[in-house]
Formats: sequence, C-alpha cells, structure tokens
Amino acid sequence: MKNIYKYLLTAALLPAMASCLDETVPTGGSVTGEQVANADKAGLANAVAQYLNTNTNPDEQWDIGYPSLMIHRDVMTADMPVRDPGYYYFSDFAGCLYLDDRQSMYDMYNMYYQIVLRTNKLLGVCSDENVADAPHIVTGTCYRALCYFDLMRHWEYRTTGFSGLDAEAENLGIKGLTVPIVTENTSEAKSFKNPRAPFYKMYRFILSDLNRAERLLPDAGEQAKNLGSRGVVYGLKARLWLDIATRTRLHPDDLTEILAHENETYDSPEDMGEGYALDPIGITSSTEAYQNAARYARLAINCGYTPTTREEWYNPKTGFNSATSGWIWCIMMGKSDPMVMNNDWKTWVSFVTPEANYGVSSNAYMAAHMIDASLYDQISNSDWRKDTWVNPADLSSQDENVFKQKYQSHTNLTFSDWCSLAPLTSLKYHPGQGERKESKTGNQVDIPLMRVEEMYLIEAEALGFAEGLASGKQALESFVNTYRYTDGSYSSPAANLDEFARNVVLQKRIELWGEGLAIWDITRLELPVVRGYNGTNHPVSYRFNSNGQGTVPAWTNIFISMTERDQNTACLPNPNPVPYVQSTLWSE
Amino acid sequence: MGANTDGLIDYDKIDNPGQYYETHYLALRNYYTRAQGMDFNTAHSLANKNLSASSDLGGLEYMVYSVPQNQYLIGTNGRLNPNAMLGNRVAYEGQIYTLTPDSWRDHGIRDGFRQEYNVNINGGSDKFAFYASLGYLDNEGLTYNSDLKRYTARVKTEYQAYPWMRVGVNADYSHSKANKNSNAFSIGHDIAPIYPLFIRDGAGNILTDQHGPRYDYGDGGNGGMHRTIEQSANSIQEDQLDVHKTINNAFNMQGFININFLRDFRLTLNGTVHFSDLRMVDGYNPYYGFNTEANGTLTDRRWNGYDTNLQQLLDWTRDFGQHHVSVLLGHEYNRSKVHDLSATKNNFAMWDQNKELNGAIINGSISGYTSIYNVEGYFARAQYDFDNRYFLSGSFRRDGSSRFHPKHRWGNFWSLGGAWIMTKEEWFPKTPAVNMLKLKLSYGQQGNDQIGDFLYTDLYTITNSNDQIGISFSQKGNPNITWETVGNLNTGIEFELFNSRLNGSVEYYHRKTTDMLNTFYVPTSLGYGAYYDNIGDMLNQGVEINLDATLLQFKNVTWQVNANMSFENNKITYLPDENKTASLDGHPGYNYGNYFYGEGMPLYTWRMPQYAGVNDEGRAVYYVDQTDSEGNVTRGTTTDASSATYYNCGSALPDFYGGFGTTLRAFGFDLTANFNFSVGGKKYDWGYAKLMKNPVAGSTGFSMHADVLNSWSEDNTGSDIPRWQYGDVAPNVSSRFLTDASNLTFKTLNIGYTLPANITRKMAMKRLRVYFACDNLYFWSKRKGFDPRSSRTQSNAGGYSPMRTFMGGINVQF
Repeated sequence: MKNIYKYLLTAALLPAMASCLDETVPTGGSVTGEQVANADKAGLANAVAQYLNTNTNPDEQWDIGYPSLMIHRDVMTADMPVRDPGYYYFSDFAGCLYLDDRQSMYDMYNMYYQIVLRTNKLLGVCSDENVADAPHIVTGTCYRALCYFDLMRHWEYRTTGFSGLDAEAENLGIKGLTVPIVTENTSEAKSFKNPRAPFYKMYRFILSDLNRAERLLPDAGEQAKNLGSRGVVYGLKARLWLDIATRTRLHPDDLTEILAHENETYDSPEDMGEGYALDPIGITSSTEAYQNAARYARLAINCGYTPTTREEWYNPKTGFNSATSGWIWCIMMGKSDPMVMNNDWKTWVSFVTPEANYGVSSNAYMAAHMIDASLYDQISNSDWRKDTWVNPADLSSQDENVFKQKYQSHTNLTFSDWCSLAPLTSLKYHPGQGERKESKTGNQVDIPLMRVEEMYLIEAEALGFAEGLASGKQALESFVNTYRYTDGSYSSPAANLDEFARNVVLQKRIELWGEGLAIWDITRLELPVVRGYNGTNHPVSYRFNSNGQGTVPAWTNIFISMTERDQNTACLPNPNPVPYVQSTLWSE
Repeated sequence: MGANTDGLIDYDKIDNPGQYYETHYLALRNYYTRAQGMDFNTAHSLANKNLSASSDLGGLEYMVYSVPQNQYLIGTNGRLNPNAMLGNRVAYEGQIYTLTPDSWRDHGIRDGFRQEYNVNINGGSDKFAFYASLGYLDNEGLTYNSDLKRYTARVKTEYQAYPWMRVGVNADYSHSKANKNSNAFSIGHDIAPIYPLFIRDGAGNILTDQHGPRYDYGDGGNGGMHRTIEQSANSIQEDQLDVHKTINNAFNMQGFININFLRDFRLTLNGTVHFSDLRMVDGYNPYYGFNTEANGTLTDRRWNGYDTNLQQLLDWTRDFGQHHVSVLLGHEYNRSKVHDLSATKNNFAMWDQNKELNGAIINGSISGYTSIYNVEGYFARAQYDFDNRYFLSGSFRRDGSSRFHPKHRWGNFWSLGGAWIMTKEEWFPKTPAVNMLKLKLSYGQQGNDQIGDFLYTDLYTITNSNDQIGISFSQKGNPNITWETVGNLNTGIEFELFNSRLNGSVEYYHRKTTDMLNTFYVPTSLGYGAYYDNIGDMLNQGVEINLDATLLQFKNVTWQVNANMSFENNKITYLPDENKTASLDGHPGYNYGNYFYGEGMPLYTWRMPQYAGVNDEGRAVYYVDQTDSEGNVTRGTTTDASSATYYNCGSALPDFYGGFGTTLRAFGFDLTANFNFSVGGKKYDWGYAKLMKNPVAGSTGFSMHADVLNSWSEDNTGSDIPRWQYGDVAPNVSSRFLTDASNLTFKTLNIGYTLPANITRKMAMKRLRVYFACDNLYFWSKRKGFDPRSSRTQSNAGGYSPMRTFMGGINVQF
C-alpha cells in the first residue's frame, strides 16, 4: 500500500517538471530588425533627422551631433575666434595640436557614417515604384547627399603650400581621392577592401542621389523642415554645382578627368552593385556647371522662401532659434527631445550664445564666440546686420544709453551682463524663448542647415561666371540692397571675376556667420585664412595662417582614423599636418 | 573588527612644489630656446613670466610662492630662488587671499573601520537537521562616503518525512547599503603638488561656510585664480556632498524533495527562486562647481531581478559485488527576468535634507525596460567504479539559450573520464613512502553563453524626432552566433607520499575553446563598428603543480608549506576566412583596437607603434617599415607616430603564475602567510604614461614623474627619455609604456591563538580562538607604483588604492 502512495506522489509531481523555452522578445526600448521591417517607414526617416541632433560619442565634450561639426567648420576659418580657451571644447582646429590619429578625428568621421548608416537602412526598404515611399526616399537621399558632400570636402587632400606635406601626399598616392562609398548594397566583405572613391565618382554618386530625389518630388509632397523637400533638393544641387564649377574652372585637369570617366557606370557587382549605375555629370565646361548652379539656386528661391527680415533677425526670443519662412532645412527639437532632457551645458545653445546661464559661453565661463576683428571691419555701417556683434567702441564706453539704443532690443542680456562681454561678441543666437535660466526650455531650439539667402548668393556668384561680371554684380547688389542695407548704397567694387567672387563670399561670411558654411567657400575658392595679424582678437596659441591664395589651410585636410584603416586595408591615409602647422604660429 | 588603510604604493612623483615649478620652468625655457630660437636670457625671463600665465600660454596659472620684488622665482641655474617663501598673498575684489599648496590625496583618503560579526547554530539528528545564522558587516572604504553595511540571515532545515522521502528548505536574505564615492583617488594621482585645496584668507586661515572649509574649485573663487586641471570641480568636496548609493535586498529560497523508490531509484526535485531588488541613487550637489545652474541633479534607479531555477533529477545506483554503477538523468530550466526603471530630476529645494525625486521640481529623462533570459538543459550521466580502485564516468548535456537565434539555440556537450588509484592494487608495494597514488584522465565539454541578451538580431531604439516617432538603428546583430564550447582534456597524478607528509598533484590540461564568442570589428565606414561573433578557436594548454608539505609534525608543533604553480600557453588556433582581414608578422587575423587577434598568436597580442628611443635632437622616434622602389623593406625611424608602422609588441599574458604559503602551529598559536606571484607578460602602464607627458598649451598642472628630470638633454644625450620640452605632444599609445607585468604580492598574514581545551570547557565553550589578520600587505612589481594585478592588460590609471586591511577578532564555538 505504501508503495502506491510513492508512485502517486511521483506522478503528481511530474507536471511540475514541464517547461519550455520562451521565445524571448525584447520589450521596451529596443525592437528587432524583423519588427522594424513591418513598421512605418516614416519612423526610419524621422530617425535620420533625429540622429543629426544626437551625440555619437557621449564621452566627447564637444559632441552634440551634426551641429558640433558646424562649429568645428567655423573654427577652421579665421572668422569665429573664441573669447577664452579655458572652457572651450572646439580647440582641435584652432590649436591644431591633435589633428593626427586622435579621438576627435575618429568621432567626426564616425558621426558622418552613422548618419549614412541610417539613411542606408531607410533607402534599403524603400522603392521608387511605391508612391508612398517617395517622401522617405527624398529625405534619405538628401541627408545622404549632405553627408557625402561634407565627407568629400573634408577628407580629400588639397594643396596646402607646405612643400614637405604636399610631397608626402604625392608619395601616398592620394591625389583626388575622397572617402569610401557605403550604400545599402555594400556588403561587409566589400567594406574591408573599399578604396577611397575618386572625386569624379563621388560627384556622380551625390548627383545620382539628388537626381533620384528630384524625380520623385512630384509624389513626395511637402514635408516638415527637418525632412527632405523641394527646396532642400534644389539647394543641395545648387551647392554641388557651384563646387563642381569652381573646381573645374580652377583646375582644368580635373575637368579632363571627369570627362575621361563619364562613360563608366560603376554598377558591377563588386562596385556599386546591380541597378546602381551612376548618372553622368553631363557637362563639358565649367560654365555649364555655373549655369546649373544659378538655375537650381533660383529654383530653390522660387519655392516661396523669403529672406529673413530685420525684425526676425533681431528678435531676442525667436531670432535664429526658430525656423522662419526663409529657412529651407533645419534641425528641430520637441519638448521631450533627449538632447534637451539630458543635457544642460553640452548643447548648441550653450556653445553659441552668452545669454544662457547654464552654458559655457556665459560671462562666468567665457567660451563665447566673437567675430574676427578684420572681418568686422569690412562690414559697412549701412549694413543693418552689423549690430549682431558688439561694437568695441560701444562696449568701452560702458554707457547704458548706448546699450538701450543699439542692443537692448535684440538681446536678453542685462546692461551689466553686456558690460562684461568681450568686444565683437556675437549676439546672433538666443536660447529657446529667450530663456536664460531654465535649460529645459532654453535648449529647445531649431538649428539652421540651409537658408534661402545662401541661394541668392550662390546665384549671384554663378551668374557672374556664367554670364559675365555685370550680370553677377547686378544679382549681388540687388540682394544686398533689397534685403540687407538701410540705404541701398551697396555696390561691388570688383574689377574682375576673382575679386567679384571674394565680394560674394564676404557677404556670405557675414550673412551665414556661425552656421558652419564659410569654410566651404574659402576652400572651394582657395582663399587665404589669416588669424595672426596686428590687431587680431584670436587667442595667442590659435594664431595660425594658411599659405595664401591658391592653397587651403593644412588643418582642413582631415586625418583618416586608424579605426577605418586597420579594418579597411584599401583605404589610403592622409598625411599628418600637425608639425607643419605648428611651425607657422604667428607672433607679433 | 579592523581597519582598512591606504595600501597604495605610489609612483615616484615630484612631490615638492618648489621642484615642480623648477621642472615646469625648464620645459618652457627649453621650448623657447630650442623651438623659438631665443637666446638664454630672453628665454629665462619669459619662462619665469609664463610660469603663472594661463594654461593656454603654457602656464600653471597659480603662483604659490612669494619672492622679493623684481626677483624671479627660478634662477638662471634652474633652481628655486633661495628667497622664495611658500605662501603667496593676492588681492582680489577687495579681499586678500593666501595661496599655498595642500596635499589633495591626504585630505581625500582616510582609514576605514571594519566590523564583522557572525553567529550560527546548527544541530539535529538523522531525521531532522537545522542550521541558522545571522551576520553583520560594517566596512568603511578609504574615500569619504565609501562604505558598506550589510545584514544577512539564513535558515536551513532538512526533514526525513518518511523513510523514502526527505525534504529540505533553505532561505536566506541579505540587506546591504553601500556608498561609492571615490573621486579622491584619481585627482590624488593626477594633480600637481602646487595647487591649494582650500581657500585661505590673508592670514593663512582656511575660510569656512555652511558646509565646512571652503574648497578651491579653480573657478576664480580663490583669489581670482582659474585652474585648467580639475576645472570648476573639487573631487575632495564632491566625495563629501554628492551621493552615489546602492541599496540591495536579495532574497533566495530553495527547496528540495528526495524520493527513493524501487530500492535503487531516487528522484530529486529542486526549485530555487532568487529575487534581487536594487535601488541606485546618483546625485550631484547644487552648491559648488560646474553647473550649479541645475541646482542639484538626482537619478533614482530601481533594478529588479527575478530568477527561477527548476531541476528534476532521476538517479539509479546499484552495487553488483565490487561493481558500483550509477546513472543520472536530469532536466533543468532557468529563467531570469530583469526590470529596470529610472528617472532624473533637477532643481532641488533642500538638498541636505531631501534627496528624493519629490524634492526637485524640474523633470528630466525617464527610462524603463524589461529583459528576459532563459536557459534549458537536458543531461545524462553514468558512473562506474570497481572496488573503489578504477573509476569511469561519462556524461552528455544538451542546452538551449535564449541568447541565440532559434536556429542556433541548442548546443551539445559531452564528457568522459577515468581514474585509477594505483595504490589500491594488490601488486603495488606497500611502503610508507607512497600512501596514495591516483592517475586520472578526463575530457569534458562546457558551453558558454555569457554575452548580452539579443545579440543575434539587429536592434533599433525608439526615439523622439521633433515629437515624431523615430526608429533609429542601434546595434548590429549576428543571427549565426551560438554556444561557445570549451573542451578540456585533463590528465594528472594525485599523490600522498611519506606518510602523507608530502601531498600534491601534477596536472596537464589541454583546453580548447571552439566558437569563441568575442567582438569582431568592421571598418568605421560601415557605421556599426563591431558585433559579436563566434570568431574562432583558441587553445590553452598548460601544467599545474600543487604541493603541500608538512615539514614538522609533532604533538604541539606542526609546520606546513604549500606552493602551486601554473605554466600556460595560449594561442588562437583558428580563424575563419571572413575574419582574416589583416595580418601581423605573417599571421592572418584581425585588428582589435590596440591588439591583434591572429591565427597562431596568443590572445592580447599588442599591436601598436614601436618606440625606438630618441633621435639626436632628443625627440621620440618610432620604427617604420620603408619600402623602396624595388620592394625591399628596411626599418627606419620617424618622429611622427601616426605614420609609424604598427608592430607585434608582445602579449599581455603571463608565462607562469602561482602562489606559495606556509602555516605554522605551535602550542596553540597559529601563523599563516600567503603569497601570489606572476611572471611574464607585458601590460600597459597608464599610470606612468600619464606622469611622463610633456606640458602643452591647454594641458598643464598635472602631476609629473621624477624620471622627467632624467630626460634627454644636451648634457644627457645617453637617455632614452624624450626631451623635456613644452609643446611636444605624445601619441595615444606606443610600446614605450608596455612594461613587464611580473609581480609578487604578500597577500595575507593571519596569526591566532586557540585557548587550551580544558580552559574553554570550563567556560562552557567548545573552542575559542583569538586572531589578528592582515590582507594585501605589500606587492612588488617592475616599476614602483605600477599595479598590473587588477586587469589582464593594463595598470590601473594611477591613484587607485588597494586596501590594506587589518583585522582582529574572536571565534567562539559552543
């Protein structure tokens, strides 16, 4: 009898042994690749826009996403010196000590390819045949074109005027090479032997993306200003054509190279892949490229954007922190944006305006940006933009009446704050809603990526080279007098096209100051960069000068990090510019 | 009870403030004469002038000496002005301050007190067994607000309910609260000896405020001085005011039922439940330092882990004469669930009294997620022995893990082993010299799935894009990953010789890891950086020797000595072709940061620029392979580390390691001492590298090693330390700081006295022992201050103190 009980007990316990492996699925925070394929493609497109406002390396003190690259680019010029290097995190291209295999160089390169990865994920699930995909394809191709256009201009080695450095570049065999192209078709195996694309191939790749976007514009419709739209496509094309035009004009050999490769399509399986034939550039002269630039600039303007008015420019609550009808493309943040929720001082607002008490540009920490003294001196008094920067004579008067008359209406600073600024400090940017104390309100801003004013100036320069000096001057003067001068007195003094180009670029450097765009014009036209001169307001250890007209500053040819070259053995290096740059520190 | 004291053996730093200024002056003057071509006197003046300039101009920003008017701090002989006095009074905004240096480390490190009490009771019979214990630990760390208080309780009981059924329950609970502030270690290592810690008035008295002494944050508060090192921060005060605490409740319950039936069968059911509740609070004070605008920030995080483990075992055992056979079948299921929730707020009303989220008014970020991990296994084992002389066993196991894709989820593992106790053989000579001799041979496999969850699939995060839903790629998955298998072939001899006076074992092992789970790197241009893969196979083989000798054995005195040593050889034996993306020294493999994973090479093979000493200008040079037009390769040198060739610079793994110790008992006293050692392998001495940097613009005021005084100079051309000169930037890594990691540690010393039994019996005790113990007494390595013991590949960053713990206590047994 007892035995039966034993068996019964055992039988009763058997069900307790049953179990099976759950299909564990991540819940909360992360979703799997399969779940995504079913999800709304708009989510993937939004992620691309969002990523520009996300840091890639949380330990890097300057990393606030794409806007940090904009600041680095302005620091590369001479136009935006910092008041005091103590709390300054953008000294890489100012002090030029850590430009070889260092964390910052890796972070910049990696950031671009992280954005590219997300555009590739988006484009990989979209198809031209599906009308609903059109707006997302436009977003994806525009952001990818932005990245590769930046990548090529940062990492292609151009002549610096240091014979030793230029000779090293010659020996490395990197002339005309940009960066590796990675698309949604690039396999992992291919990425390990992915050579740097020559400039003509890269132009064609970017142009092909923008051509594709342009074809789909009718189906894409209007989208928010942080996604792709007509103005963005035309604006990017205008920038691209101006670059191609300038390059082929200054270096006719490059045009020959372009023409020599026009018939290659690059769509073999080992290269771009089946169905990925690259569009030809389609020009035979630099003049045609200038014509294209002027045409697309005008197409962008005709989308209906209106240049920033004086009231919009100088509004202390919304000036340059809220998109106006003149903004074509920008970064936008909601109230719960992670950048706003998780950061006080590591934000755009902290880095660009002294009005934020929680930022490093305030008078307490003094990492505020000023305009270069020699650039300021070239701004006419008839130009109403001039009050954007604090006039040195006004500041040294310490006169409250002067403050009330000229500055109070367009800044959130008090008189005593203003008195402690450095001369030439920029008051262009403002915290969100002008909020100086509460970082979660002040850090929520829009950041401009492309404005219609740039299109007017592209058009002016392009018309000058395409149709003649008179035509260019007329366009330039029309823009400046209509929209920027109080008395219509502007006239371009240029005697020839080269001088005219510099006139246009001067207007761009004033108009787009602090928006990360000046370096492109300076290197495109190979203009000199001068930080060391009598009367300079650059910090002592940042006073480097480039080698003059016809060269680019050596620090603008960025080093390619070993993390790429250790794995991708086909990627050739750029030479290290540091010893050359350091040897030319200017002193009085 | 005992004390934890600072066990740091520090590098030879320049500790004297005067000598520090002399050394920094020299760096500046060398720069002005050599790089700027100034004559000696101009350079000398400028170097003196810039000693207290901003860091951007190469200065130290603070001048804590005062010299008579019109005199320089450093003379043309490079020595401190004999009229210089420590303590510099400065006027700032209508007040006078005195600047004088302090030892930051001395104020940030203390001795910690330790107490531990344990009591347990056990008893029972064949039918019923009972055990209960209570424990309390209160341990203070070396930095302020680093401590641990823990209570533990345990109950364990077994009951023979029926002759054929035994049940048992085991429950334990532990509650601990720990504070983990420890910023003082790194600033103590990094900061130069010239900076004041406190703000002092004109008479040299330390100023105070509501939190105690006023600390110098280098933000102008002390005489208007700004400091680039430890900018707007003060680690010493942060340890006191910030909060980093963890409160942990852990509860375990385990039950079992053993049922015997049909004479030879036994069924065992085990069930375990484990529940962990962690609360982690991290907060930054609102009073001082960078970002007081936020007025105090606090993150409160709750992490719960809930684990269940169910096991069913069926065992059949029978003796047939001298044959003993046993077979076991089993099934195991394990499920872990984790829930994590965290919220941050800032702008606190009353930080000192209220550090809860309700005490703040501005909402910050919120996050939460759940994760699950499952493992299930089936296994079978058979054992046989004959006459307790020959032993044979084999087993097979099949496991599935949720960490792998459903198609690659399951792994099979088996093992086989045998042993032979030779001394039990009839033919074996019966001699007191050999008491026991056992030969054993076994092969067994074990599976490893200890990686993160969900690495087999791409992951995306859900993100806010201007208040629209964004789905952003975040991790590359690899659907092919599967179990890593470690197969261990082990053979050895265990022996007891000379009346068991000399015991030990010698073992040879051949441990092969197949499908090793590790990170595989891809080019940056792919965007995802790296992912987990079964990257290849690895072999560890070696010999382990254990010896235990009783040198003296008398009634009142015994002396025993023990030693163990392992010789190990490690090699990556196989990498699949798709992982062979580069090569080093002819071995194919792939690059992994500062290492190279190569076929035929040991793990942690260093790959970096190789230091070649200094050139005739005293500048650091690195080797570079130069190929001429005919393809001949010669080895040259270059001053540019970023264009240097990367070479195989040795492995971080040791050649052999082990320990030795001794125990001496005499007349109730006992003394035990234990040592550990390791020989061979090269690790990166980051602590030293940090101290050997040259000052450059924007980077001054950090601690320096005395070795910089022996740098190359025109009078010291034999040195291979690069010239001591402002402005020379060092590369990120080079073989210059790879150092032989051999070390010897005096690990424990324990001295005790047991009262004679007749005395303890009178006190109604079974046994009473008084003891004194010390842990981590000392260690020796190839460079004073270099501690290679806590990492497989590198030193700590410097300043982190191992604790030297002294304890005294009493064991009582009733």
